[in-house]
Amino acid sequence: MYFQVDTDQAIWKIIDGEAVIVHADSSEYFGLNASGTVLWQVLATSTSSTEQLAVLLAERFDRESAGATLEVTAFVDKAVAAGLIAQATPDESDAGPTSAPDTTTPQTSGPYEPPELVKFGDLATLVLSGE
Amino acid sequence: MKAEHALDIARELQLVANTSTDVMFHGLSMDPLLFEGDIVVVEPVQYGEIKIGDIITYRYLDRFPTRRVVAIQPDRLVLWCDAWPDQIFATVPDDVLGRATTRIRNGHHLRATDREWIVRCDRALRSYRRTRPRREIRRIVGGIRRRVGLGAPQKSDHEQR
Repeated sequence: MYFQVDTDQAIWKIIDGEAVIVHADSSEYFGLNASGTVLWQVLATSTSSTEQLAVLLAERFDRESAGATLEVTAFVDKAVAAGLIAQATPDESDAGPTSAPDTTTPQTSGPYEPPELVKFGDLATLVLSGE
Repeated sequence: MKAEHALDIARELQLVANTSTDVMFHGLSMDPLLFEGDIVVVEPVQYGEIKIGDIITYRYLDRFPTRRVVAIQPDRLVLWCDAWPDQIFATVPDDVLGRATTRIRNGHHLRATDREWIVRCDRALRSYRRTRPRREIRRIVGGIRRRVGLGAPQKSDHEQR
């Protein structure tokens, strides 16, 4: 099964290697940790399977890919439930991601943590100040 | 990432998300074009694309002031409010978040390309030029007051000095 970021619904910004994501329809906003942000960047640019993502995560963070698969699956399930990523059909020529994204933002150098998606809350009506 | 920091980032993303139903104008400073409760669509804009007369939203502390551009300099925009002729504001390119492109009032969409918007823009810019001498006098008087130790009338923090 392949997945991709739902770019119609998800708007995001990466600061210091961690993403903040807003769901356009629900106005819910989320945060990703460093490993979650690596997966997000891959899913934002290509369709990927959980197995491919697990291999990338293992390479990037020097992990066993078997353990990473479970973590990636949990992460993807949560992101799908939140409406941030969706199942996708890969192009026939699409062999999936071949390497973790070469990000221009600095990555955190702390210890590995499983990819995590945290819902922070719902955004209230935004007020433009005319006073 | 701390929740408060994430909220700041999320609000800026929300501003330009173009969902249009959750960005509302508050205040009287841009009356009559923008009024309390109007829904405003703000779209991302490059600094080089901003034109005199545009209405832009910028970052100021935890607020999103929305004002008209009356002068463009390499390092800052000079801003003005249609209904507050005596005050001038400024912001730097990094704090510009977007440009207002549509107002929605009672379900009616008024776009920046519509004649009514353009006419109001022209009127506002004429008013800005007409009231310039008054602001200049105010600035000179403020300078004199400061020099003689009387202090100047209080201004909001981001008002141009």
